[in-house]
Amino acid sequence: MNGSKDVQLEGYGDENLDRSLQGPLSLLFVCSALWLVVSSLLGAVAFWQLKFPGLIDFKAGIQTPYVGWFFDFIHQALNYGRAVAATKSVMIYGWLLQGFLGVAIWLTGRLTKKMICKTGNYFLLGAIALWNIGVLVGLMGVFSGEASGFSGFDFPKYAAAILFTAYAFIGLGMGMRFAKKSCSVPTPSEWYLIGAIFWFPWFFGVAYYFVFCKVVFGVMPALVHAWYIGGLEVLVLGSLAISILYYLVPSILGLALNRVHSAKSAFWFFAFLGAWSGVRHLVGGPLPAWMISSSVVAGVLLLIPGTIIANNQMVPLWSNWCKVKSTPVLWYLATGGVSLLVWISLEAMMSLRGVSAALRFSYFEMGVSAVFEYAFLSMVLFGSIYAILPTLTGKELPCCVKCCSKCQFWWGFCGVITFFTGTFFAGTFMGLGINFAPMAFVATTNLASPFFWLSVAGGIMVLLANLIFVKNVVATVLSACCESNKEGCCS
Amino acid sequence: MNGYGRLFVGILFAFVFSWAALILVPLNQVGNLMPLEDQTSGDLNPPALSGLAKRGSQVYAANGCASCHTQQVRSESGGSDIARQWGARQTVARDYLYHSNPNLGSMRLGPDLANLGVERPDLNVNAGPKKKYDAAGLHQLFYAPRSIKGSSHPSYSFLYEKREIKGANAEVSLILPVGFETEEGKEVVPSEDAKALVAYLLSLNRMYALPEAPVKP
Repeated sequence: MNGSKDVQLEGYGDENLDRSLQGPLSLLFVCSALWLVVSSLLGAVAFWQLKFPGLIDFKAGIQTPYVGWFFDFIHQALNYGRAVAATKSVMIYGWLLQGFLGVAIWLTGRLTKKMICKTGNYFLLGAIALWNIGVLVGLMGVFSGEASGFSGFDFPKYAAAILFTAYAFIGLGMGMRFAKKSCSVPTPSEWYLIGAIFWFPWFFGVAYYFVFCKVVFGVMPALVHAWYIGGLEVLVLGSLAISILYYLVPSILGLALNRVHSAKSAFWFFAFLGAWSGVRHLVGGPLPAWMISSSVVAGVLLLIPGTIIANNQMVPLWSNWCKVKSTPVLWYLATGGVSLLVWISLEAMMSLRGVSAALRFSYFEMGVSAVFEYAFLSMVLFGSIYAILPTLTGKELPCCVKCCSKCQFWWGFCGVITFFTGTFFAGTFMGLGINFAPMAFVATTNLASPFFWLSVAGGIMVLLANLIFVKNVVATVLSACCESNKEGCCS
Repeated sequence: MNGYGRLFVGILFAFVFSWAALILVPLNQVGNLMPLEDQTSGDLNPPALSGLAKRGSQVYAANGCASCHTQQVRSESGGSDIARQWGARQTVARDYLYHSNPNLGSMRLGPDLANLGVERPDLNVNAGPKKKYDAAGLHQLFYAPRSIKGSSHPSYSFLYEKREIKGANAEVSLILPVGFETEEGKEVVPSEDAKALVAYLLSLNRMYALPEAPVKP
């Protein structure tokens, strides 16, 4: 994405194949980018309330009937607990999953070389619209006090059902295109992609049944929830990100993927350990020790496939450093590849009992989430979308978008590092304070205060980066739409 | 079977393996627990939740209370929870028998609430004379948190209604401290959700002994 030449993704067949997906993928990317901004703003409102808990409590001062009702609704909807639930859910289902579904649909086309027929395109557009309705209905459900209370699975039952139905159409379409493929040897990118396509409905379906159908009580819903979140994070979102890394990095660098054997063993390690790792979030919780211990072991062992995967991405990037320096898409992908390893290391560290005793339940958890959701997943997604958009429109990205994407990278990169640094120190001091029983509990939050502002600064930088991203995506899609309309008129 | 067939079987096996081990086996181990009778008092432990408290649990979940408060006491080696007097012993699976959502929590921006309904020193300062939270105190915290010195609790005033005083409703209207009173002729009354939430919080008591989690004398 330097001035002369954009990302090199040709040579994988038909450009008509990419162009045929322009409508659905443009819709997916624009919607996901908008949800990213919504999530960032909700997060800002929630985070701000930690310092100013009366920020949105307008009720006392406003007596006018209709205006009062409006502000009362704002107070209810954006109250800290609901705003946190909304932030997390919109981030996962509105931005990350939706964005990665777009990337997965594009990648499926590239890997299977099968075009979607016109009817299929309409089905896809309908499913995307349904997915966004599901996210909107879920968000309204959380705002109106119908959240399930399970972080990351907060949307009410009916919204989850809409999401599942929408995914059924999207996933079925991708699965059918793979079923028609004649080649018999899957590539590393396909392992992760096919895995994620199937794992998501399986994990989601089981979690839906156990959490929403009230068939289990006691600690079982919490256990199912932890298992689901582990599967969603590692096997679904993680796999989708790794799949696109395995495809884009060699494609852009113009290299063939070597170390296929190590990549294959890493995949199976990743699949089996990732499926076991979710319960580590309940370290010290009211569950039999063997469940948590086995999950902790799986979480620590994830370092093995994580190292292999990061190594598979970083070695070619490092040996083509000149190209990396001049190609901003690779900045995003390289940051994502390194962040995967950083995240797995932090999670492994957090699941150790000694560390968990001090840092669990502190601000540090927010920092680890930021590394996963932003430094790893979002960075890979930003890079992928910037790489895919020109293939959909058949034209290079406009110059202003290229410049802004560089600007976005540095705001986002510096922002997430600043946010993590702030939460690291705030969480460490807060956690050590809580673990020191003679200290009054209220004093522990004061220990974190100076570093809290560092996190706020990081959060503002990330918000700016996200605003630049949504502007870039919307501008690119709109200019492509205008040009295709003009072409339509001329012809 | 070609490479794709083998891949599908592999990913299915990875899923089923973890589902069987982490959901199916625990379902038999902790999914069928029963309350136990206390040999001295004859009470069943854990005590059942009232209907109002069950509804309160849903209000607690829907308002994201678990994003600031946990409801799990870790063992002495796993943290300072017992030293902070948040509980007398580690909480175990049987403690949550009657909860459709155990609300274990993910952050501790506020103190642990696993035993909020029990008499003990101030939760926030871990010292002072023992006291038991009562409904009036909790309603005050939710409606006007700024009226409590040092509190950074968010306001849940939307769970309350300010209305003209009609008849004698003194037993349900809130008693607010000086500086936070309502206008002349008006009163603040809790909604059903607020009453349910308070009933739920006051029902939180896991101080009884269980065979798998004895209370140290």
